[in-house]
Amino acid sequence: MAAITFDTVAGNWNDDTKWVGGVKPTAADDAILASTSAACTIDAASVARSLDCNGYTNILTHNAFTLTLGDATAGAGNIALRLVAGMTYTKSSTTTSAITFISTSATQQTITLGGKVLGNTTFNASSNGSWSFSDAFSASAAILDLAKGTLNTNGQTVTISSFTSSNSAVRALTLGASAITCSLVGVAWNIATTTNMTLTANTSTITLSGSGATFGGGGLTYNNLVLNGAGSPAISGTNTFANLTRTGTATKTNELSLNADQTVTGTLTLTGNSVTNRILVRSNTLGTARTITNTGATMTWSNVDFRDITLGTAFDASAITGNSGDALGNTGITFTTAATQTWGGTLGGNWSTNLWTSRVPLPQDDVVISSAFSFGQTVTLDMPRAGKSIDWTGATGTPAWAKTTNTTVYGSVTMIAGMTNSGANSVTMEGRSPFTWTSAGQTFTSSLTVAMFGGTLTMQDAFLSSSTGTHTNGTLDFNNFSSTFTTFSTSSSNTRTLTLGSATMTLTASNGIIYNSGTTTGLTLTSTTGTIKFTSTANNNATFSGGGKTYGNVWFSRGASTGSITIQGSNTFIDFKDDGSAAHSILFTAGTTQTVSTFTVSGTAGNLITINSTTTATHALTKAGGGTISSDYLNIQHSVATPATTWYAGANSTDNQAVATAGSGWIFTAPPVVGGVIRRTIHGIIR
Amino acid sequence: MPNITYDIKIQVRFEKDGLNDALYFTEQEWANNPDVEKLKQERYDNWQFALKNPPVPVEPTKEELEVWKADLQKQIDEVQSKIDKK
Repeated sequence: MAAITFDTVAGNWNDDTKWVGGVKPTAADDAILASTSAACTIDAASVARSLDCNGYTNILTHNAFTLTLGDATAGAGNIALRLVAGMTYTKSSTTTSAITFISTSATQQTITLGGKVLGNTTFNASSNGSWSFSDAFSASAAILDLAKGTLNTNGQTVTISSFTSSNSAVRALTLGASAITCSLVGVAWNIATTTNMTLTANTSTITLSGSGATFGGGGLTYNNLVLNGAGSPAISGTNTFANLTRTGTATKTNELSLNADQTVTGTLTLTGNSVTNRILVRSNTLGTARTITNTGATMTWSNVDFRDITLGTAFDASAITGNSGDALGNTGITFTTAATQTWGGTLGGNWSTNLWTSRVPLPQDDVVISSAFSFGQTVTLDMPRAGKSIDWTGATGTPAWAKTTNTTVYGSVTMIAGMTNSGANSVTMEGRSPFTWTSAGQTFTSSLTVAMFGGTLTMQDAFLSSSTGTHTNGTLDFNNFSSTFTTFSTSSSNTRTLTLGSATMTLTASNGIIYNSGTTTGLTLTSTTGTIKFTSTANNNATFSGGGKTYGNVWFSRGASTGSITIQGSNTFIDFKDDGSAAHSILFTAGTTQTVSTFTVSGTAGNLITINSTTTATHALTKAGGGTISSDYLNIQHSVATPATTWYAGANSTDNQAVATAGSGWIFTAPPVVGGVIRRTIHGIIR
Repeated sequence: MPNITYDIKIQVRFEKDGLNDALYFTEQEWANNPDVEKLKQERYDNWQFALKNPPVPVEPTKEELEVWKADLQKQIDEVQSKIDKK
């Protein structure tokens, strides 16, 4: 081993002639960039036992290669890396101008950056490697990865994009009094797998500043965690914190999502930015409460709402600064008492700034908008939690209801004929008891999501939407009223009941999965005699993903559309109808069975409707209830139709059943004419 | 005795050429003999107009796609985190 100094002539690290002695460093050598050394470029993957730039005043250029430092013994002076203030360190890449420390020496070695900013930095000793920061560590746009070994941040300030140490290798992290800031938008702290990890948090503070950052704590014990970014940062792992702080930003959509139970022993600080820029502390799963164990802890809260949070030791938050909002599913928190909030004045305005009875509505507050509005007024819903029930009854002056943010309603919605709707932001219904929706002829321009855990939304009249419908939780009862959406989806694993009833659900979108109950776990569907009707005439392909449920009728009324229709799932229909006028295909997912009482599908001359599978395997069509199926002008392939002597394709249909996997059961004639003579089938012959 | 107030709403439920809908009236509105058939026709015309003029799908903006991408990346990170746990 030797200390090898870079030459006085600028050049590349991997050029032997640029090192004093004519040989570049090996993994056993300490690389020295001295006061006499010229500019050096790391031009390829490079190695040394250590790199010491003490006194260096030139430029170290780190191209997109990894510099690997370390071997079985510690670097001279127990230095692993020393950069200094007087030098220049430039990287061509944050991610690939990387440094990996691999020493297997148990001797603690120091890392000094002299104010320089590294790229991705990895500690990856095969055993025993031990490092300590000597000054502030910055890899502000990069990853700090403790794959193996021991790292002591030594109370130094650490500024990184993210920290990761999620594996089963033996490793230890000691934080001292370090202030560690991770800026990544994403999983900014990841110790999800804690096997063989020893974390000593000391008096450290970890701050996640990225919008919606995730803290994957792995169930370890931390000192201070601060989440001060926008959006919805999340905490996973059942962790313990001395102090946990969520500081909201000057936006209305700040949240704190708990993916697991947490324990706070010191202070739980939840600080919304203002009365309108509130924080929602919530479980990441609707209806599944997360417990915050807070025995002996101090609660410092303001401008905060909760959903599905159980506080281990009860706390009275009824009079906190900015009030406390009950977005349902909470235990152990005394919330600000509900109070009906009535829109003040005759002018429009923003939900967040209008003069209400006493405050901007909290989730537990009913909302009444019954003003005698002046002409041309708009009420703009700009709060993410609008209130409990919203009732426009009594309002005059034809007000407009605009939505400029995605919002949640915790009760009923009652609109009136004398108003208008606008805005494409979503409205989510999250009430947990019976509530209603009255459209009063309004075309609802927002997408509607029904996520009413344990609750019911019952339509009071026809629902007419120019956007999507999504049903994820609870009961949605159309109450035998018509409904119209672009698309409708009830595909999830949550407990939910969809009552389509006897009316028609019209779906107007032209492309993709127009009706989707592909995942039916937890779904109770009552369709009775209702109809799901596809009406787009655009030449796009549409899919009905039925999930194997029993429906009333399905009707593809797509006019002159040439787009194909795909049917997914083994479903049951009263009537399966397609009255499209152009040649097109109905494709059934191979291996599925559709059971129908009637099958009202016929093309016309020159406009055959193709009946086929989505692959060259077969699908099955089964008629229930006796009788026959009578179609014509079809082009049939891969179709197994049962029972026998039931499915008549007509005399003008094309028989492709022998092509590829053979289909069966279709009879390519018109059905037998039954007139005044009673006909019986004897030995397969109609007599 | 508590002072109880209540509102009565009169429901007129109807079916018109495939539209199942309902009209609601206060007692006072009902007393003024509203033109129910006209209101039904308005509802039906509005419904037909909506069916014949479905919204044109709007392509997401670059910013919306970036948000979508960030959301997906977050989901990927979470799945990767679960995979790492295995």
